[in-house]
Amino acid sequence: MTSGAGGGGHTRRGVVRSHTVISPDTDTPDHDGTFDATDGPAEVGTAYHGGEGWDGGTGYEDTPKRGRPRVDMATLLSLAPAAPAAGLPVQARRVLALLEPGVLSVAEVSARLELPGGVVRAVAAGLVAGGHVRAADPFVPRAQPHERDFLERVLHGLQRL
Amino acid sequence: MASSASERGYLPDGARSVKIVVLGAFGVGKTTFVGTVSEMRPLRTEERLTRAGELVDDVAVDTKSTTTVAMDFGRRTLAGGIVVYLFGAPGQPRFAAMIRSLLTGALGGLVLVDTRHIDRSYASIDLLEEAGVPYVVAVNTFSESPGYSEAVLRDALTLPDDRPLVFVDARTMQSAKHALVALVTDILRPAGSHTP
Repeated sequence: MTSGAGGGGHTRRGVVRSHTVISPDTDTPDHDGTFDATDGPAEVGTAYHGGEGWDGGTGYEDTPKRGRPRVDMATLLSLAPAAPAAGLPVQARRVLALLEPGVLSVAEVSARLELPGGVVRAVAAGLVAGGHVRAADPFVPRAQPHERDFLERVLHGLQRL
Repeated sequence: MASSASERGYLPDGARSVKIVVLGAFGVGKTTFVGTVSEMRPLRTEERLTRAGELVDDVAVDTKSTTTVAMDFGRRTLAGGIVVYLFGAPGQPRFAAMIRSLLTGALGGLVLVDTRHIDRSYASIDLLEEAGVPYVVAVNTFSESPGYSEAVLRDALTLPDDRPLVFVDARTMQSAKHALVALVTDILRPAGSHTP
């Protein structure tokens, strides 16, 4: 199955699009902040309620539950000191305990707790909605002039490596 | 005990993350690249796909209906509390939904190419084009790989003229850094200088 440059009969689909930066989608902010069982069978609800952690639906599912923020694998999570953890499901309490010493990304929480990324995104979204956790989404430029400053800091930081 | 928290891999308050996705076929050097740049041993996370898949590449079949896709990731903290997360993910079409999700919120993408299997990188480039995420093609220079000129490689990849192509040795920091600098430099180019 070796095909070097120019070899083979395969081609790319070849549709070239201009680059428009996609911003992370955020759902309507109608958080109710509760984790009641009437939340329905969507991925987030199922995972959050801590059962098997996965609903066995069809295909890959990453649709955020209505009313909960979309949480990225590179979203940084930190504890919000106010909300009490009592009564939260076990996976949520594991996440809170892990975040006790400081800030970690969703991906690191997933790796350290050995939970699938989709489960941690769902649990984290619930904790953010409930006020237990603060979330900082990864930076994505939206073509605003002041964002060049941040990108230049990224560039200079990389150049100094 | 801030120092002990940072020794255990915790980030300081106020850190800001950026996400860069490293795509490419199995064995092309994604994990090597991530490990070279990362300040910590790369970690692994997984995503479950509930569609039956074959036993190939980065995929292990869990059950009849659940497939697990592993992603290695690492991070590098830059000055000013900026943390670059690098996610290595297989660019095969069957993982398109997962990759699309991963590309949401990404600053940019890096496509690793092995010149022995150029066709295996087509799907990664297609996914990035489709998502509208800026990307750079990085040709990983394995010693036994045939060397081709940039023009030949661009033609074979149907790479748009405005997409940078760099040659990297994923094992060395300076080379990996060069690819990341090329990506962020490209993103910083004024809008308008991108040819449509």
